[in-house]
Amino acid sequence: MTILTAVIVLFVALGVFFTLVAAVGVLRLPDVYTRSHAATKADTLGAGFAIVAVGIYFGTAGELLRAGLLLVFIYITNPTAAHAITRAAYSQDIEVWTTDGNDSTAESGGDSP
Amino acid sequence: MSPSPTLEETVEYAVDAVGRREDDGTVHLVLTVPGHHVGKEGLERDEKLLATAEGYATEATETVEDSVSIRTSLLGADEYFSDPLNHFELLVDYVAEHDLDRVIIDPDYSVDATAHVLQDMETVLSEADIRYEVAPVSSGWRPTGPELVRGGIIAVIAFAFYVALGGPTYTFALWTGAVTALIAAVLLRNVAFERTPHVGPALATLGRAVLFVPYLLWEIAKANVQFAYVVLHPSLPIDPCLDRVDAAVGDGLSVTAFANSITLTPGTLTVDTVGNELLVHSLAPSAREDLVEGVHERAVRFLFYGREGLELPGPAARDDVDPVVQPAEAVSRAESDSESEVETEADANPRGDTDD
Repeated sequence: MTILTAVIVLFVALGVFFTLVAAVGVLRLPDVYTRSHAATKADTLGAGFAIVAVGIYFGTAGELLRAGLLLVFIYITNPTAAHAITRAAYSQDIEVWTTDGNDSTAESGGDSP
Repeated sequence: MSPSPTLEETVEYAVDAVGRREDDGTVHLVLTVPGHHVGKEGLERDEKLLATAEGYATEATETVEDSVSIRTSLLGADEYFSDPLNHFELLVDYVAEHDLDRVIIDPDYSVDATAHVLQDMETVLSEADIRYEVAPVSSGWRPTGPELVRGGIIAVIAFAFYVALGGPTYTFALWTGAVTALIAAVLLRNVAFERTPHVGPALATLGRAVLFVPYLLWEIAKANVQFAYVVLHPSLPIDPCLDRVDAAVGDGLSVTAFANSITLTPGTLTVDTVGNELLVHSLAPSAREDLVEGVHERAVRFLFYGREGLELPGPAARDDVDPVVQPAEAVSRAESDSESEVETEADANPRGDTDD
């Protein structure tokens, strides 16, 4: 195994790990807002590592440039999507989950569909 | 006023309108600017525009019989806002303050490069019971200098992107790329930029981006390690809260950069923005600390406004943070202080914004 292969494997492994963390986060976290944290942060970094691995694997200038552009778009669109989802949730009066059992918001946001 | 092709004719019309009245009058030339300038830097362009307009007005006074005096004012230089409505509110206050008879609007008026907002402005003015009229001057379609600059920049970027994907040696890609770039430039010349970029500031921002991007990447990496710890921890140690933060950044692009860097960095997520007011969800109080102390805000201010941008204190110190849903930790602390206080805070929670 050459060093290059080792580096590629490392990046793919990191990508897989953070994507897994994102999936676990989406399953474990309690509400739409906290789940959006999972879907933006861990996912973005996971995809970033995977793309870096792809860029190194192909190694030519053209592929690196394209991988770089992919990264840029992921880093712009991912938070934007999370923003759109949570904004929609907020405008539907979906309550924010809190550790004290959601009491503080349930009264005021009670008319949510 | 705004830098529009019909500025000169509008100013002439205003002077003429005042000159036709019986008594003497004053023409106020008013320009609103969002105060994202640190110090006086960046105001030069706006001052130059005012001076130009004053020149037009002085020229016009020579042709009317009654004496007409001219005053110029720059509004909003010490405030932060990004919503067009803020500009109109400044204008309404100014009219009330100086007890002005009427407002004359340039038909090509726009607060920034992208949107013609005449209708909104007319609504605000008529709600405030202010007499206004749109100057009857023709604009016609002719590309202005700034429009050509913006279109040119878009064309270059679009072409470079197209060729980067298509391959620079592929003749078909070069030709179709040129056509695509031209179409993009014509369609997006008034959409993609809020203000016409100027070479100096644009290069400075690009230079600072070289420092900003690695910083952001490092913060993202840190965010993820923390997040992985929280998610994989058996007891899931989270304590979410929601805050309204008034960001000290002054236009659409910097608000977007700020909102997105909040979303990407430790435990914070931008839920909604109204102008430069951000609604931020935090996963834990420690993440909230960074936010209210202005760690990210300072970075974004550095990116767009340079070193001077670093000097402003964080949102908490400026009293620009308004908790919407408090973390349980803070609520239980407040509960032991007084029951009623918690009640009012809870009632203040539901969606306070009305835009959509």
